[in-house]
Amino acid sequence: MRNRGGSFSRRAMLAGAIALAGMAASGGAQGADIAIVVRPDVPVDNLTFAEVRRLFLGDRQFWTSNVRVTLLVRAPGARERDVVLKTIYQMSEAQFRQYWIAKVFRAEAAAGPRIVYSNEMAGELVSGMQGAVAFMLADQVPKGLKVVKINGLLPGAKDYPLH
Amino acid sequence: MIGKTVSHYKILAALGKGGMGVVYRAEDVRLGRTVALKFVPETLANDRSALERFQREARAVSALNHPNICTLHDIDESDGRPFLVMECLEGHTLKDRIAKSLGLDEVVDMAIQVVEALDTAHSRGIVHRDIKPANIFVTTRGQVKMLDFGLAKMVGGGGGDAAQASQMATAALDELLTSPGSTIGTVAYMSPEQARGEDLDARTDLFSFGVVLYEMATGVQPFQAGSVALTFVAILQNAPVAASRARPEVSAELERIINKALEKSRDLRYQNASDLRADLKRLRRDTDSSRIVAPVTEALPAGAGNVTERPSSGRQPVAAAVADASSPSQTMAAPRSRRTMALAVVVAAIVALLAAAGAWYFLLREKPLDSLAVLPFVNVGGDQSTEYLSDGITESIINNLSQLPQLSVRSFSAVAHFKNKDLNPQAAGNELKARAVLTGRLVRRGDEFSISAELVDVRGNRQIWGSQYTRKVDDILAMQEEISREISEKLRLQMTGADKQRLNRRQTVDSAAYQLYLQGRYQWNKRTLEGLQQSIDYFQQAIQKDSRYALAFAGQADAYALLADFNVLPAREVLPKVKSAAAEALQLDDTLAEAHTSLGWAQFHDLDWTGAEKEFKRAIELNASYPTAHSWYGEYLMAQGRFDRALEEMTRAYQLDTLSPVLNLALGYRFYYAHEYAQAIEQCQKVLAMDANFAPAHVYLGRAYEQKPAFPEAIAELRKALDISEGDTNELAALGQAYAVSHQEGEARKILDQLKERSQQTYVQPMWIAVIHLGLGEKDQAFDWMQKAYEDRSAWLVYLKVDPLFDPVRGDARFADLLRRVGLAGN
Repeated sequence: MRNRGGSFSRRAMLAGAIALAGMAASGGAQGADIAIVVRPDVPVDNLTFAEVRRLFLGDRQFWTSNVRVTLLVRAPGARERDVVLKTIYQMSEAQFRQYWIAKVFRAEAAAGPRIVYSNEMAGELVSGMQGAVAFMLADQVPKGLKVVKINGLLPGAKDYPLH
Repeated sequence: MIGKTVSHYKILAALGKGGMGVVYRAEDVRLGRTVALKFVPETLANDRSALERFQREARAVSALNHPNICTLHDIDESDGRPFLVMECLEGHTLKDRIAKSLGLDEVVDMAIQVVEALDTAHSRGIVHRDIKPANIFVTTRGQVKMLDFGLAKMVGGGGGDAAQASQMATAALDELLTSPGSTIGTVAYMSPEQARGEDLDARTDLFSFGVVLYEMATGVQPFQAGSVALTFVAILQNAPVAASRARPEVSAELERIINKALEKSRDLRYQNASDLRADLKRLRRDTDSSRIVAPVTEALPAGAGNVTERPSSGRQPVAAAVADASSPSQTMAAPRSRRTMALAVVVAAIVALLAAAGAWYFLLREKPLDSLAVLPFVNVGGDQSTEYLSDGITESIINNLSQLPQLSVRSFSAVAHFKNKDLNPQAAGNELKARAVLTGRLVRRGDEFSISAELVDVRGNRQIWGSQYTRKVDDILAMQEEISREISEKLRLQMTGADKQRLNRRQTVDSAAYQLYLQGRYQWNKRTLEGLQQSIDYFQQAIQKDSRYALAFAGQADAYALLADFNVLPAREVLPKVKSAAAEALQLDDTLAEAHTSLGWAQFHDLDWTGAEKEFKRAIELNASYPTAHSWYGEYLMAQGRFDRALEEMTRAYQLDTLSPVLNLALGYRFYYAHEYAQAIEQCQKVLAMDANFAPAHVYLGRAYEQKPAFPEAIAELRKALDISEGDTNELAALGQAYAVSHQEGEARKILDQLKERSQQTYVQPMWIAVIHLGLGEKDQAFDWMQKAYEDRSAWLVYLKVDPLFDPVRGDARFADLLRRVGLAGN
């Protein structure tokens, strides 16, 4: 019966450590917009907010018939993750986990999002993996990656939704 | 490339693949010498500014002329692609050498050479940044050569230390993506400042070398954990297990040096390589001089005079090192050492003979030892990635020996709380009421591991047997059987042919499948959503490896069962998979208590009361020491209102594992459902004293307070539960229900709305919404949601008869009807 529990303190520690690493990597850029980035060969430049949600909820799994979407999500504790959970997923941490376990159990997705530990790591993986999509602080997007517009807006624009 | 000539180098062979790309052995046709060529990655070759920086820094490195640094002869290019011309070395990397274990003298000698190299480079402003055993080479003549000096930064290219740290972490992630749960060496050697992505100085190399030194001395890495993330955490926050604990021969001084190198704060660490070198040299000098004066008997390994045979550990004992020593001072000591040693051997042999004769007398005289506790094997070095092996081996030996009817073996959960504690076998045996106690230690080195095991007769604290095994990881199954067989013999059990057959029965012959199963169980036992998710993956992989592996199917059934218990999914969806996996397990082996327990759970929640009881009873009959069987059977009895019998079973489960928060809490909610709130509160508080972050204990404590009623205390506990669980739906709903009954309607409705909104994306058990409506006095709506819960086979449904939350509707005909449909009306 609901034998949940266990290593919460470990989880909190992990979150703390990751937060620390994340803060250092992000330079503490509080308030900056969060960009959604893909490789330039991904045939998408603009998505509506609803499409962004579908993408990150795993409901859209292919960019094109032969290019699978690979979601990259920051580890717990990163501001980018908090923003995405709040605005895109609209879920708590626990609900996010529950969502993906259920999705994989029901075979609605082959796997959950991959975890990345810094924006640099996210950028490098997006560069290296066909179909990967990540979110990161807009002022840290590396050269050579494409920032996807949301509702026709780029980060920094008024009414841009991810911040 | 082989056979081609680039510039004036004729490529002879590929030597391997390094961080920069492929490395070739080549002949410098002008000078007639053999060299190694390293081609830079194409990404770097195409970036002009990065390439210029690379060439500039490579030139600086080429100026490093030191016997312990692999010489960079030249930078050249072929078809626009630059390559490095390096000294060609013969020998092995330190990584390979560590895998075969190093003597402590060798460790100190090699360490001094590495630090000499670091000192030279640092004094010229060059920081390595990627110190790890794979980058340290030991030539066939025993000379240490540092590889890739300064190149880590150049290959990183990104321009900053933070970028460099990130690139290393990316490499780690690549492995993580392809091999969940595994870690990569690069991360394990990072300094805390590297892990945080900060700017680096020479002290980062000293920390990384501290990690290497620890590994050289003990054979295990100090911070390696089950995943990249956990490794980061370990580097940033955890102190490693003392090196002397991982390898008792490590001296206090060497341990101090290692610890100083591993200081998390760089201000507290060695500030420069020369200080570290001085300490190492002092250690070498002091060790050498102590050998001259120290009596050899003190240098003999502990227990060398023991009555039982102890095969060699593979490590070189100090006494042997003295005899082999070649320095003049050591040679002076040798004749005396040999004489003393010979004397010691003769004395030890006589003592051994006498002791063996005495032991034989007692063995013949005494009756068989009929109860045994196998204490958790110690994972020496605390390497998280092998934690599952030490637990798994312990559990497997317990399971093997539990097959013998004449032997009572304490369950794994009963002994689990002795894990990571200083073990006194006699005290443990007395506490566990076992006549004999088995202890063991496990060390993994590369693809081999060593296990030492000791069997102690608790009465008299006498060692009955001891042995040491060094095996390949693939031979783990055979080794466990060997240990079980030897123990059964030493316990003097009269075994029938059937007993022997049971003892030798293997659940799987596939070692990889077995290890995946162990990892699955390890994750499952964590009782977290994260662990649950991983356990499902591991059990599935184990089944893919061996489709006839009954235990793996039972594990899979248990993992699915918890999905319903955690309300991740409706039991309606989960039950068919639980049943199917349990049935598969039973088809392969119908004597598996685990599988009968899983099937019992599925039938219980599928409202097949008769079938469930039969399965639980069968499980207990097959293995009375399996706590989950008692605990789940207790819940079954409790759900029917058979509180006394429930208490018996839950107490039995608790006795098998007194320190388990889960089994302690089971007693707490048994009191709650029996409407004994004061005892429920007391029991939940006891659980929270064991683990203050155990969210379900806060929930039951809150619910017991609510029934008293003590609403402020109830709400405070439920808020804590919600916070600890990071917003779990179950905890949120429990809080909503408490608001509802405490007349805080606005708060209750807010949560009700949130739950309804959440249900659009994730499963929300309908019974939670029902009880909030009930708390608000909205009975019609409550019954609508109860009906939905019935259709979902909600995991909570089975407690309808006893849960105090339903007391307000017990007289309602609709409730009576629901009870009847659930199968609880006649009980």
